Amino acid sequence: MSLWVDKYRPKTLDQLLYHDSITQSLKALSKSGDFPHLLIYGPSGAGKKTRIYCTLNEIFGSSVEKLKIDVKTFVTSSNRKLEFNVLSSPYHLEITPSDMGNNDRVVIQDLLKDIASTEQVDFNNQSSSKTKHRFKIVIINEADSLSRDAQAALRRTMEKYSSNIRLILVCNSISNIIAPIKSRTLLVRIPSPSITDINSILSNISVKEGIKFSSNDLEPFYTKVSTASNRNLRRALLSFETLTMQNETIKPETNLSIINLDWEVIIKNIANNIKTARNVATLAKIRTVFYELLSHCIPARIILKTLLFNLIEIIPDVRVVQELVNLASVFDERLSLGQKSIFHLEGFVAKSMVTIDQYN
Amino acid sequence: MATVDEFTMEVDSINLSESTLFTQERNDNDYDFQMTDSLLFAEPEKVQEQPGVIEEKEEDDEEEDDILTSHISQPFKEVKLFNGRTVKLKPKTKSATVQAPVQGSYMDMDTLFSKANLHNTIKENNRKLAEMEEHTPVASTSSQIWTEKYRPTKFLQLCSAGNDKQYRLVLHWLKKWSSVVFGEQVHDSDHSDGLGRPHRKILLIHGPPGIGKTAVVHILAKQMGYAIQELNAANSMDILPQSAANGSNPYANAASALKLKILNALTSNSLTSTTSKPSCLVIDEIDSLANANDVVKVLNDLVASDQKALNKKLKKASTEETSKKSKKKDVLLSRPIICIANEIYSNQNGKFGPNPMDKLRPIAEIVPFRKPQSGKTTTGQKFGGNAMKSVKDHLMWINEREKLGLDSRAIGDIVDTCDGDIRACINYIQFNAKKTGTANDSSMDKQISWYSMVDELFRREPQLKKDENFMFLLDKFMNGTGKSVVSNSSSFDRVIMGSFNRYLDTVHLQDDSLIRPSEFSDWLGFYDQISSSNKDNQYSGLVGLKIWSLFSQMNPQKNGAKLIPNARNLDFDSFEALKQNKATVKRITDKLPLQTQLSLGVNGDSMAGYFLPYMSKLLAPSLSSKIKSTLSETEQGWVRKIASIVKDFNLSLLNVKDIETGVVSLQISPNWDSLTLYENEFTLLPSATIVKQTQIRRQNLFPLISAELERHEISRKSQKRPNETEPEESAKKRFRGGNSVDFFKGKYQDMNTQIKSETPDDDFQPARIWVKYHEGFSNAVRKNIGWKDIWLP
Amino acid sequence: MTTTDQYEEERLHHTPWVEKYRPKNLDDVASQEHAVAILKRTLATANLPHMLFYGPPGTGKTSTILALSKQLFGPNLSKSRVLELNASDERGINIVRSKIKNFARLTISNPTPEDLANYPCPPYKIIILDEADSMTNDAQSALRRTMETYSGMTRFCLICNYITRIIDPLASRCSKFRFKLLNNDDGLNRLKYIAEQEDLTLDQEEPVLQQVLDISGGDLRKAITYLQSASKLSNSYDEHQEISGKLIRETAGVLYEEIIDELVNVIKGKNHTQISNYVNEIILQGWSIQQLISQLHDKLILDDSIDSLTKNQIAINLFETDKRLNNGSDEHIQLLNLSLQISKVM
Repeated sequence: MSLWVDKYRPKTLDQLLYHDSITQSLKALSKSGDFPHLLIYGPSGAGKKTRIYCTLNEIFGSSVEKLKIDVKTFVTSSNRKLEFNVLSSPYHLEITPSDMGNNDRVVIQDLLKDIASTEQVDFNNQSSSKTKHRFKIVIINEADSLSRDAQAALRRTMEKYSSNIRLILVCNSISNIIAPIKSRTLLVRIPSPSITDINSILSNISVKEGIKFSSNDLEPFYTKVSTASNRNLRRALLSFETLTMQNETIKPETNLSIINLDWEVIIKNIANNIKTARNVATLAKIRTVFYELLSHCIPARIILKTLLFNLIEIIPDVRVVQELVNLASVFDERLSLGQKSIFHLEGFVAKSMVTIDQYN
Repeated sequence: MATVDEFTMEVDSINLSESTLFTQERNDNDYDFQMTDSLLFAEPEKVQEQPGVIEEKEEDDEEEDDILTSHISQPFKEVKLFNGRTVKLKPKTKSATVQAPVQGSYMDMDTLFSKANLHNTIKENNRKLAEMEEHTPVASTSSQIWTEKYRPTKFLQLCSAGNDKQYRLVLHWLKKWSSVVFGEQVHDSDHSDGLGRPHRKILLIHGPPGIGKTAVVHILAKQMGYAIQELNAANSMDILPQSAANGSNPYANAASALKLKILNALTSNSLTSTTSKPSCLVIDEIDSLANANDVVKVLNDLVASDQKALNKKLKKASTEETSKKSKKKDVLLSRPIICIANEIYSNQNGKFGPNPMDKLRPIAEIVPFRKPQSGKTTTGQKFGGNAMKSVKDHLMWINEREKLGLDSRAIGDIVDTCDGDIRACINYIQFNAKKTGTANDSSMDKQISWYSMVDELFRREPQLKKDENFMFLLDKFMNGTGKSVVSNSSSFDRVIMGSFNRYLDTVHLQDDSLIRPSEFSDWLGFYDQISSSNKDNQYSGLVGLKIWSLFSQMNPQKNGAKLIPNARNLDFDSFEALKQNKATVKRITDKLPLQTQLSLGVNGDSMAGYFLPYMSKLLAPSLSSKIKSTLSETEQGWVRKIASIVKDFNLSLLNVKDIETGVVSLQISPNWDSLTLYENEFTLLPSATIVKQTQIRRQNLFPLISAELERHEISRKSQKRPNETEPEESAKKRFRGGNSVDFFKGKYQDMNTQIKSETPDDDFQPARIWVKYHEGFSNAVRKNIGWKDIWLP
Repeated sequence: MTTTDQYEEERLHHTPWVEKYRPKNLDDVASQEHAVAILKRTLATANLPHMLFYGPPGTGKTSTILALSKQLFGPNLSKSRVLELNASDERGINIVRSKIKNFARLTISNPTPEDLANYPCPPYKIIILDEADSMTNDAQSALRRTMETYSGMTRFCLICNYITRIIDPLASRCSKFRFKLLNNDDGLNRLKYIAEQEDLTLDQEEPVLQQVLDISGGDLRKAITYLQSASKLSNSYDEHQEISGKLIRETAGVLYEEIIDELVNVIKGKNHTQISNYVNEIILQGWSIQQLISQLHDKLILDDSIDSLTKNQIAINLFETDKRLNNGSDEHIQLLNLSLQISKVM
């Protein structure tokens, strides 16, 4: 409970501060007692998981917060042991398919069948209790990273066990979700909070925490924080908290550099270098930096994306921008299909340099 | 102990790099040799200062020796090849003793004299050693596999391959056991636990295959006077030990049987061997054991029970003298355990679920071995030259012994082909030499190596026309010797990688335009795609041809200036670093409380992307002073917050001393600095500056936080039982925080009774006792609980 | 009311409408006159070939075969005579070798006299392999022999969306039935029927059902699901809301028309900063870009003011983007690229 992301995390639907219409729908859903399968999507840091847990809280009460981690074991058809973590409460469980690798289909099938059958057995006990919900919630994180196979398996399972299991799929984009699943779930889109939303949350917190500012005109400052974090609420909170830990009194005009992350600064400088010094030596220099970024767990595609947007910002010529974006879209595809990220990152830089040369 | 008599060990291990280490060993072979630390622990800087000069000299000498006095020079040459740092062993030792004072400070005569003495002894010993070697007949062992034949048996025979630092770490660690095993005096108390043993009871050595991990462990352990009990994948680790299961169902509890076996190995004073040396358990190939999980679990149990036993023992130590016999009754570990693995970070077998190594790493001292590589770091510093040389020297030595007649260039190629795997090199020499009999350059051409393939791709034959050359190459790829490389996807991967590392230099030297690199990127994209798609990639050879048509030139410069000095290792290194960092992220993530995991939306990207960088900054505010009372309100708030973060996230504050440099640094464990620090010219501040800044801040912060944590602990305890009726109990409770040193405990207890008897009504007196560092009262006592509150219900 | 009754009612309540309103007999199957006519004839003669149903999702393939088998065997007998396997069951080569083979060679059970009186009860079993295109090629090959060997007492019915993913030897053993997209009227009728049965309050101002059908693109299952989701959502509010077009759109994840219009406007503006900003906004709103592309496609390709050469180029760009998205590429970059490329050609 020490970090603000923890401390100021809404626990119930009533505490949610933005996207009122979604909150209303969720509230209505949880009140009706019936509950279709949900597919919740939206950018990261928009509050998908928070909303889910608030909804669960609304339905089952606060005991959904009593979390524990189980280690489940499965034996695959090739007789290999497979272990993965399941986060669970008495009413729900949460799985992340990327833990399971290629076996996600088997695991999900088994797991769901397992839950479905056990749930039916103690149905009588449950009906006597106060909660009238006979279903257990299964949250599947990163549903877009489920293999096609696993998704295909899900589609039938969803119908088969619909009487005692409710699935909540969480993902960033539904482009990778197969159509049958989309048609079997209620889609809930959670957009990123708007700048004003984030600003009001930040100012609320700073009042509660008694943060000192040197001036009173805070709106531009908050706006800077929320823009820098790309309207990712989680990141905005973390960066704001970091700021307050570094300065006793925050001077809204000056010290904001600290919320820029090192790797973002590096990529920005790479972009500048691409624009100014277009030669092989720079390319070689950039390669070593790319290696370093990659080894620091920064995904290649994030590097490419960040680099692209930094380049767009500093290059005025529309034609160059068009070309660069086109290049990026090609190389991003290569990155997602291939394995040797460094080839493609360097290729993008080389081609960008050539493009900029052409239009100069 | 009985064994000690046979070994006289005088080690001043407090400052290893300066002191002298005598290791006298009486072997069955009945000869002695002594080693100086300059042999074992040569200062690396010294070697690097003038490598060029020394190497040249040696080569000159070599040639001379070959021509003139091959027989006489033999002994020196032998030794030189074994240890890899020949400078001090050559006849030049005389000059070395003279040169010694040049280092700067004046040395007194005694030291000089002893040094000179030592060198003489070494020379003497080396001669004896060489004689021994000469006596062993070569012919009788000719049918042996050479990797066995030339398996090193003495420390001097080891081919260090750049792992000297690691050898020192291993030796250092093993040395610490001496106090327990041989009853020696405890020397280095700050890096050892109460018994003089190292903090971590298990040594985990990892590194790529064939660089002598097992060999060095065996030799060092032998050197230190241990008998080795080896457990490995082959010798019945994974088969259930039937002897242990004695009648009961052998499948009942494999784990406990395993534990018995390991314990047996540890405690049995090696009944099997004739000498009564203490045993040292070596678990080889721990990562590929079929029951690695069980083994690691047993090890974990051992360490845990050891810790308990140790605590018990230390507690007792304050009150009574414990005899050494009682120690054996406890499960206290009294023998070193060494584990050897190839891969400790990722699951190479593609098993899912937790890696057993994950659980081993936290309890083990990790020593990474590296394969020999040479090159330059980004800062232009040269490194690894010695490592490569030592491997080549070693091979050259074998070459001479077997009279293969390979020249140094061929050997260099072999080392490149085998990627520094010494065992593979020796195998290569043996079998390729046998095939042709003459073992000359023809053996190299039988199977083309990826390395020479890259050379070929960057070279245009001067006598051929361009399309002729192209057809020649095409033919080579499709039908000729090149096919072996092209059709083997993993070796062709290396060809592409090798070309990728090279093409920038070529372009840079030619026209320095970016057109060809950008064209090449498309081909690389094509290659990556078809090689990822698991189908037979018969077209991947085209990429090779493209490389040739783009970048080949008449006279490729092999050793010119490189744009990226260590390009060849960059890919591998960054991959290794990535694996380590991922493991760190996972470790931290697992430690987070579940609620926080939820609010952070745990996935690796966001953790490494912004959470950890922000945490680094967040956990290092700049405080104005070390003393709590002088801090401002906000700063105190920060300290409280950080303390609670440290507590919630299960972090711990460490004071780490680097063995090599001796620099003490403050760290947060698990340490994720490697994830947030960057070292390149695009950063805002150089990493050194950031590190320095953080260290300064932490120096202020850490004492405050630990005090805060301690206070927290106390208040929690007293909150837990606020209505404790027994006055002595509650009083004791409060005192515990005051000073944890047991010595003072008695005194405080006395004082406590005084207070109790004299001033039972005083409100503040008891509170004042556990105030520390002006930190004020804890939350629990802020209420001003007086004796009345405790006494009267 | 006993617990079981209550449970049964609850279960019915939870049942997706798709299951609830599955056609009970062949006559109820909407729009597939051709296939139904042939199948009806087989019903009369009780002679059935191996069958392969293919066609876009939601056109009634599974419903047809289920209805057919029910009509052939009746509820009791179908338990022992019909085996339904779909992608959610383990269908590796091992299953084909064991489970399917075992069922195939079972001797057929004798129908009870009542069943015989009411249903044709032909002397064979039916194995339904739903979603057959997700079977591996190995498993499919293993089926070849089984299909022939036990053809005496077993009929197979393969159901798939893409006939190209069924290996040729299998396809050639079956008589193929193509299920075409539902025509508008049939779909609408079906939806109307359901709306009446479920007592839905629809927004009277707009043709909601027609919109549902449009959004789902002829996929009746999708349409019914959307309707159910929307009704659930509207029912759960305190005062029953009418089901409106907007509600349907939101539940179907379809972008609002305004967004598409605005995007087209911005693209026509040709200012790359504006485009970039608006694209960023769409991304942060969390919309599905694949959905956006298909809507953008409808919008631009049907726009008469654009000449066909431009449309050509736009179509190529749309195709490229869709392909890359399918390869898992980043939505933001791809949408930005698409917008810039379109602005270039317009």
